[in-house]
Amino acid sequence: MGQRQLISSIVLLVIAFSTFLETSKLPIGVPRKPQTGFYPLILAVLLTILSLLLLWQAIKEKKGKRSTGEARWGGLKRIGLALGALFAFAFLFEHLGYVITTFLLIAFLLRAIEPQKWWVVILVAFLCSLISFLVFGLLLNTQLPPGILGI
Amino acid sequence: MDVLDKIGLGLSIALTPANLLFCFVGTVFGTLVGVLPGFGPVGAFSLLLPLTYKMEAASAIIMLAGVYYGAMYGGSTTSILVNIPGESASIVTCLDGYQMARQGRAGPALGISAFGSFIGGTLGVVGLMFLAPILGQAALSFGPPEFFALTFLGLTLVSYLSRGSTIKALIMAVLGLLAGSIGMDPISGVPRFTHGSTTLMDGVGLVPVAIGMFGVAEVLENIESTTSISIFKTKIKGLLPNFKDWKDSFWPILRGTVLGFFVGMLPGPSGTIGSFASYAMEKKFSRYPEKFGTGVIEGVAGPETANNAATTGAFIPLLSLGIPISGTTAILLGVLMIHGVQPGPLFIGKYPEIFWGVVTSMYVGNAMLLVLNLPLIGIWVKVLKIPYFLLFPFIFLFCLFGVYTLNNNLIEVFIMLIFGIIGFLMRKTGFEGAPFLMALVLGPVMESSLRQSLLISHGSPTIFFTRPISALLVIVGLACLITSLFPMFRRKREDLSKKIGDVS
Repeated sequence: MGQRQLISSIVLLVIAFSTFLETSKLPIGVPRKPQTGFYPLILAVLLTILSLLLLWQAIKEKKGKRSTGEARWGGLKRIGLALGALFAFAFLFEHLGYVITTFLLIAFLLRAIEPQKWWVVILVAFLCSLISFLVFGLLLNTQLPPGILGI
Repeated sequence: MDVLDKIGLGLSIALTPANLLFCFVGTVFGTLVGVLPGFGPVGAFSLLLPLTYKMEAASAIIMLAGVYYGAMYGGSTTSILVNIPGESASIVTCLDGYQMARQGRAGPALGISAFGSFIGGTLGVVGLMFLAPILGQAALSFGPPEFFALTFLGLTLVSYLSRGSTIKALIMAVLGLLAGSIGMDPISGVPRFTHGSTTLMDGVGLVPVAIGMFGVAEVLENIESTTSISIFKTKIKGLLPNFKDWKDSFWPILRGTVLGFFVGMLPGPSGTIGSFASYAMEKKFSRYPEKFGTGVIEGVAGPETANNAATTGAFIPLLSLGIPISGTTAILLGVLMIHGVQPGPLFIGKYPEIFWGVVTSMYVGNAMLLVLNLPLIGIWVKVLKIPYFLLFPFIFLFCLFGVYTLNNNLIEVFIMLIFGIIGFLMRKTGFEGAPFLMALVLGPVMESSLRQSLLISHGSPTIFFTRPISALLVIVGLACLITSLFPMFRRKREDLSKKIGDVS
């Protein structure tokens, strides 16, 4: 965990530094009359202290024995594909409409993550978009983007 | 209004056909979620959230509360039959439950865990009924210093009791407080860290963050490595425990109820801690402690009772103080706020129909779970065989859909996805989501109470130590911080948290 802890603590220090920068644009006030920036400033100070403690721990651990139990980074391709599909869904949702984007999302996930037969992919994606549209769009009257199909 | 009138009011709400249906849906869905490993109540909330937007507040909480305690029932099934805990609160059930299944006693193990859960859950509700109004009444005298101290204690305790490094948990809490400070300043109304975004003017929404960090991140973690589950093949017969089983389980169930209920009120993974503490206690009280781990029924009865009692205990700080003590209760608070209901000291007096409706629905829900679950165990075992590749696209879809339909705002969907990535990376680097989520909710309360306290005291922080309740709360919080940061105490705490395992 040493290497990752080192990276985490550096990222956290960057966040703390950015908070200091952002807070400096706000009125801070004094303890007797705290203003908008007072509370985030305290949090930025706390975050800096805790991040430095984590950094110190990471350096100490790196010098010593490498700890066991590292989490695996396998399956990154699957995660990348899934995230890509989710972001694409969000981008296309209002343009293509609920029914089409849902069909495409489910079909892509079923085919790309752990590939299924095409007929399973199409059948499940079709049923899923249809049933969820019937339940949420028609039965519960939820406002869904109509998109190019106009429904 | 005396207690009987209040129960009558509650029953008149809980027993309406619509609320009975919502309670039923919640408990059955909760059990299903509990059965499925790697899918917790927070993920389940995200799936049901779109349904709750159009419901009455009471109905929404009745359904989601059903998911919460239903998951505790379901979690034991996989622990006993597969040796994989469906929920972290059922980890300890694996020790004796699975051994009982191997000896051909899966039926009594499942039976006593269902009865224990029922008794723990129902007696816990009695405690909730009496204690929540008292605490709510006492909290009416709380001023800003007490509320600051309470939020401070809540956050330090959740960090102290979390798995692994306290420093990491505290960092998550501070980041959550920072995220909570985005939006309009709660006192002056000046926008802060919004960069001109109108969505961020109202702050970072709890629902997108929770669904991203727990729902999306959980699925990402699961699809990273797909593993198949092998179910221990045994005939499940004789679900009703015999006289000896009842005799052996009587005191563990009673002790588990009391212990679980009080542990439930503490911040952190109270269901998990309650079940571990109950197991340790039963081992201590037992005449044959050496047999624990070989399939003794007390090792199933006590912890399973305790984790259900803990879920009812967790409602006390939420409903009477407006303080959520875990990721799960933080979402319940968010749901109440979506419906324009603000929990806190005035909650029970202002919304008696919600409080008593939810409380009485818990009796109904626990009874439903007992009646439904024993005959349905065969179905739950079959559910375990559903391949994950068929489940996860639907979970993703509901996460996307749930957040979008909240305000029909795509920016919130992107916020959810970003927090999904953050949540996944956090899991990989040993950071936890629960302190972040709690801090996000408590942040505005903490800031306003801190600033008001300083205004009252003309800038002197001694105000937190001169008032008895706030002094007590701050000192306990500081003690937790100090003991967790000093190596001597830290090692002991880390040993304990390793045993406790994952945070609910």
